Amino acid sequence: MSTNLVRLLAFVLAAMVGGYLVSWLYEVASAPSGSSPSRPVASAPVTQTPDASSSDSTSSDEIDTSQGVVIDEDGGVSMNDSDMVGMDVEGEDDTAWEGADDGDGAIEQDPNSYMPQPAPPAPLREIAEADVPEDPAQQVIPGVCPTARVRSIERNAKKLAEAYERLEKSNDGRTNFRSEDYAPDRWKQPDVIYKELLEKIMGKLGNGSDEAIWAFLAEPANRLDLARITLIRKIGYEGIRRITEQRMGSAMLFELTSDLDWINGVMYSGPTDRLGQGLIYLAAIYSRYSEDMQDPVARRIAATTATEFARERYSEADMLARFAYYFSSFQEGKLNKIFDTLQYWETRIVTGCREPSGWGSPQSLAWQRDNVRLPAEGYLGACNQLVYRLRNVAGDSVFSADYLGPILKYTRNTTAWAHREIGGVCGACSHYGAYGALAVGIPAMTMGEPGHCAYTVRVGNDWRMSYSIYWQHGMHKTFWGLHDWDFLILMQDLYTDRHKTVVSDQLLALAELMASRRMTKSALECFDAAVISQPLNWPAWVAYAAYLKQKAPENREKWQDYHDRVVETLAEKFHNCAATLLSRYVYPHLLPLVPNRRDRNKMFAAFFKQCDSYGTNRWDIGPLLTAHISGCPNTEEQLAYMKEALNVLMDKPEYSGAVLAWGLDYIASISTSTEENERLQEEFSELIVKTMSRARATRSTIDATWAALGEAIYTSATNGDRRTFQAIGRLAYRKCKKKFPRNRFRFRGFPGRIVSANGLIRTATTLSPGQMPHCCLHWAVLQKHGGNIPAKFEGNSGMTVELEDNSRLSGVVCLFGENARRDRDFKIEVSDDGQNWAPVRATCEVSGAVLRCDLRDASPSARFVRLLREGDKWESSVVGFYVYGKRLRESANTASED
Amino acid sequence: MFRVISMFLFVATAILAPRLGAAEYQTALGKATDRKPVVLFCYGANYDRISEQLREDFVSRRQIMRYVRGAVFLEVPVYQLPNEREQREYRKVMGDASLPGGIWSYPCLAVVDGQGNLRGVVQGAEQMKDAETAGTAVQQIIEDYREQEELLKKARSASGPRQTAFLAEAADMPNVRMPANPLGQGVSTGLGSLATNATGMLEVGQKMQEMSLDAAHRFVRAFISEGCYSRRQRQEIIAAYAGHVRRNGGSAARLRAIYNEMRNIDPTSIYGAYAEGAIERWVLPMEQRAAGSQQ
Repeated sequence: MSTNLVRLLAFVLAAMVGGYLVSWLYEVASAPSGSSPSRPVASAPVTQTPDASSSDSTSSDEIDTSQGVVIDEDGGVSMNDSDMVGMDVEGEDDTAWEGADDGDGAIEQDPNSYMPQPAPPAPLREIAEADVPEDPAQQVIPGVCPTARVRSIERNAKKLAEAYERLEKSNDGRTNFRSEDYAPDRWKQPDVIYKELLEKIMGKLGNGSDEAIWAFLAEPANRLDLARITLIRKIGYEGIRRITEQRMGSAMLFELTSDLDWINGVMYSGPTDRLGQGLIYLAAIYSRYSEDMQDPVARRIAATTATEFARERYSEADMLARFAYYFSSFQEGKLNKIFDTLQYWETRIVTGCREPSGWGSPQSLAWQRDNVRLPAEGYLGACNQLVYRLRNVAGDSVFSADYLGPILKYTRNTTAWAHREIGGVCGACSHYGAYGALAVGIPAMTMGEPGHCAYTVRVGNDWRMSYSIYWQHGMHKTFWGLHDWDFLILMQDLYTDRHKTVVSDQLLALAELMASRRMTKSALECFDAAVISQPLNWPAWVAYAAYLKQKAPENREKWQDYHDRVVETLAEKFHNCAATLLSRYVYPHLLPLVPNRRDRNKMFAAFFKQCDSYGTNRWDIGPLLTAHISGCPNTEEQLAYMKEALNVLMDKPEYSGAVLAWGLDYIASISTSTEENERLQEEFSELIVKTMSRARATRSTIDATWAALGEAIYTSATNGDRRTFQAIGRLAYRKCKKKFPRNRFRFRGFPGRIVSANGLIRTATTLSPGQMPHCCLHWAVLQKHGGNIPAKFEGNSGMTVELEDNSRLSGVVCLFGENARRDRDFKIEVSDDGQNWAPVRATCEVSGAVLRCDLRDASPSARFVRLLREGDKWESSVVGFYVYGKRLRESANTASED
Repeated sequence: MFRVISMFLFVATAILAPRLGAAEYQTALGKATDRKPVVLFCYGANYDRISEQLREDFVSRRQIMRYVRGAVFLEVPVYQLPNEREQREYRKVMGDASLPGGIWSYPCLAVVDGQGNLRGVVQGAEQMKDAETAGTAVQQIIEDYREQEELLKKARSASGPRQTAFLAEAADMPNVRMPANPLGQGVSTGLGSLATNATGMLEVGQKMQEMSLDAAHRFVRAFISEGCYSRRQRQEIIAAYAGHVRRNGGSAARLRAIYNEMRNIDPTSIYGAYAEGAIERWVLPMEQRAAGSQQ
C-alpha cells in the first residue's frame, strides 16, 4: 500500500511538472514574434485606478467626436441631438449654451485665489431670553462639573446613543417614528404650536435635573417635540408663516415635523444657518415631487439640497436643477452604491457641492457621471485624465476665455467635457477629479493651497488628498466656516459617531431652550452635558462659550473648567481645532482672570503636552502662541513665556521649526520705535539663538534639527533679519556640516573682497514643503563652499542680497546649478534701503554656469544688490552668489589712516 | 484502478497548470497576435449597478460574444475598497499587472495588444449603452487594429519618408491608438515621438509664437508639405499658427482661410470642431464689423 502511495505521489509530481512544461511550451509557441514571454509588468494595487497619466495627444482622439457632429454643405460643423444622450437631466435646455457667455464662466481662476482667507472669528451669538419671571434657584452659576457627574453623563449618553442605534438597526436604518400631531393648517399659527410644545416639554423636564433630561430623551415622541420646537426657534414665527405661504408649504411642514427621521436629518446633520430659506426651497421641491417624497432617499436628497443651497445663497432654479440631477440619477441606478447609505450630513457635501453653474452644473455633473465612472479610490487619479496645459494648442492662456471658447459649442458648454478635450491646470484638474466623484454621489471637495488647487475624496471613512503639493489646505466646502484640514476630519469623526452626536445636539437644543427661559443653572448644566457627551461637537463648544460670555464673563472657575475640558478631550486629536477654539473664544476671557504667571504657563503647558505630533495635519501654531503671549501683561512676562514655550516645543521635532519661525516673526512685528522695544527685540533674538544652539544634532535628530533651522532661516530672510539669518546659518554649519556641499568653484572674480558673505540672500519664489527644510543652503550660497537656492525671476523680483554694510561694488558673480543660456538678458540694480532701486551699468557675460557682471565702470556704492532678468521665470538653481567690492566703512578707515 | 486514477490526475493537473501558474491576463496577452488582440471587459464589480446590468447582458447572456470573435476575451472585475476575497479575485485575473493607462470609466471594453498597450477603448454611457452599440464599436476597433498593425509592420520594414508616411497613415486610423513605441523599443522618429507626446506639438507651436507672421507661415507650409504628419498633428500646428495670426492682428480673410484649412483636414475631429468654433468666435465678428464700417 505504501509503495503504491509513493508511486502515486511520484506520478502526480511528474504530471505537474509535465503540465507546467506543456503550458510553458504553449506560451512560448503562442507568444507574438518580438515579444518576450517573461516581459516584466509593473506592479499595481489590487483595485486598479485607471491610470490616465499617459493622456497623450492621441488619447483625446479616442473620444468619439463623430457622434453628434454633421458636416454642413460648406464643410462646416454643426451639432445634432444625439449629443445629449446620457444627459437626461429634467428641465435641461438644449439651447442652454446659447444664452451663456462665450466661455467666461469656465475660465480657470488665478491659482492664488484658491486658498481661502482665514475666516475672522464668528461673533458669539447671545441667546435671547423670553420675558418670563426669574426663578432665583436658577440664577446661580453652577461650579465645576464634578467627576461623578461627568461619568454619569458619559454613561447615560452612551446608553442613549446605543438605544438610538438599536432602534435604527431594527428598522432598516431608520427609527420609523411618526406622530401627526400638527395638521398642515395648524402651521399657519406657529405661535400656538410653540406654546403647546413649550408647555409639554417644560412640564416633562420639571426642574431640569439630569434624570429628567435622560428620561425625556429616551422617548421618541419627546425627541420629535424637541426637534419641532427647535425648528420654530431657529426660523421664527414669521419665517414659518412665510413657508406656509409657499405652494404646499404647510403640507411639507406637516410631513417634515411628523417624521422623526426626516426632521432629525434636517436639524442635526450640520449647520442650520438660513434654515427658513432652506425650508422654502424644500417646499419648492415638495410641491413638484410630493408623491416621491414618501421615499426616504428622496427626502434625504431634497432636504440636503435645499438646506445647503440656502446656506450657500444659490438660486432656487439652481437648487431645483441640482435636486433633479441627483434624484433622477439615483432612480436610474447611475450613482455609486456608496450614495445609498450616506447619512444626511454626508449627502449635504455631495448634493450641496459648489459652483452650480460651472463644474457643479447638471450638464457637467451628468457628463462626468456617464463618462468618468470609477471606484471611489479611482477618483484620486482622475485628475490625470486632463492634459496639464497652461496654454492650449493655439497658444491661448488658461486664464483667458479664449482657452476653451471655440470648443464650448461642441461640448455644449459642459465644463468637464471641454477641459477634457483641451486641458487645464491645477484648478481644472482638481475640479475634474473632485466633481467626478461628486457626480456619482461620493463625498469629495476641492481645496486651496498656496498658489495651487488640490482636492480630496472620501474613500471609506478616510479623506484622502490628491494633487496636493503643500501642507496648508483650505477646504472649499465647510460646515463651520473654518477651512483647515483638521476641521474636515473633526466633522468626519463627529458625524461618524452620529448617535452620540445626536444626543449631544439634543442636549444643546435643550440648553438653548432653557437659556431662553432664563433657567441659567439648568442651561449651563445642559451645555456641560452636551460637550461631555460628545467632546467633538464644535457647534456645542461655541454655543457654550457664547452663553458663558453672556452669563458668566468673569467667572474664572467656569472658564478654567471649559478650558481644561477642551484640552483634555478635543485637543487630544484635534490640536488645531482646540487651539482655534481656545485662542478665539476662551483666552480673551480667561487670561485676564489669571494674574499669576505660573498658573498661566501651567495652563499653556497642559495644551502643549497634548501636542506630541501635528495631529491630523500640520497646522500653524503661530496664532495660538500669539494669543498666549498677548495675555502676558508686561515685557518680563512675555520673555518668560517665550522661554517656556521654546523650552517645551523645541523638544517636539515637528513643532520646533514652526515655533522658531513664529518667534522670529513675533520679534519682527514689534515696533522698534522705543528703547524698551529695541531691548526686548534684542533679548528675544538672543533667546531664540540660544535655544537653537541647545538643539542637539545627533545622527538620529540631525534631519529634524536641519529642518527646524531651515524653517527659521527662511523666516529670518523673509523678515529681512540679516543678523539672525547669519547666526542661524553659522549655527547650522556647525551642527549639520555634513548637509552642506563642499564645492571648490573655479571662476574669475573681481578686484576687492567678497562683501556678501555676511549678508542675506532672498529668492523670489515660494518654497514647496520639500524645499523648506533645506533653507540653510540659501545661506551657504553666499559662502565659499556654495549652497543652493531656487532661482526665479519675474519682473522686479530675482535674487536679492543685503550686504553687511554699504560697499563700493566692483562686480557680481552668480553660479548656476547648470549651464545657463547665453542669450539671457541679466541686469543688476542697487539700492541703499532695499526700497528704491536704481539700474547700474553692468557688463554681464554668461559662460557655462557662471554669470559675471562687471560693475567697475559704474563702481556704485550700495547696501542692497539684486540680479534681474527678463523672459521665462525659471533659471536652474543658484549655487553661489558673490558680490565683490570694498566696505565703505573700511575704505573710510583706510583713507583716514592714509 | 490505480492507473486510471493516475492518468486522470496527470491530465487534470496538466490542464490546470497554466491557470495556476499565470494570471489570466498574462495568459491572454500571451495568446494575442497582430490579428488577434485582447478585449477586456472591465466592470465595477461591487459598487456600480450599470456595470452589473451590462455584465449580465454582455457576459451572462453572451450578447457581446459575436462581436469579439477573433479576439481573446477576458473579464476584469474592478472593486471598490476590496475585501480579501475580492483582492484574490482580482489577482486571479490580473496578477501583479496594472490595467493599461487610458481607461477612464467603467464599464468599458478595452482592446489591448500583446504588449499590454491600450489600442482602443469603448467607454462612457453613450458608447456602452447596449451590447449592439458597444459591440459594433469594439468590432470596428478590432478591424482598425489589424489594419494599423499591417501599416506599422510596413513602417518597420521601411525607412526615411516612406516610414514616416506609413506611421502617419497608421496614426490617422480613426478608432485605434498608436502603441507607445510604434517602431519598437528605443526607436523613434520625429513623428514617432510627436505622435505619442502631447507636449511635443505644443513646443513646436510655442516656438512659432516668437516668429514673424511671414516666418510662421513659411514654417507651417514647410511642415505640412513634408507630408509625414498625422491629421491631428497638422491640425494642431495650424491651430498654433492661427492663434499667432489672431493675436497679431491678422485679417479676417486670412484667419478664415486658416481655420477652414484646419477644419477640412478632419471635420469630425475635435480640432475640426475647434476650427468651426473659432470661425464663429473670432472671424464672423471681424467680418461683421468690417461690413458695418463699409456701410
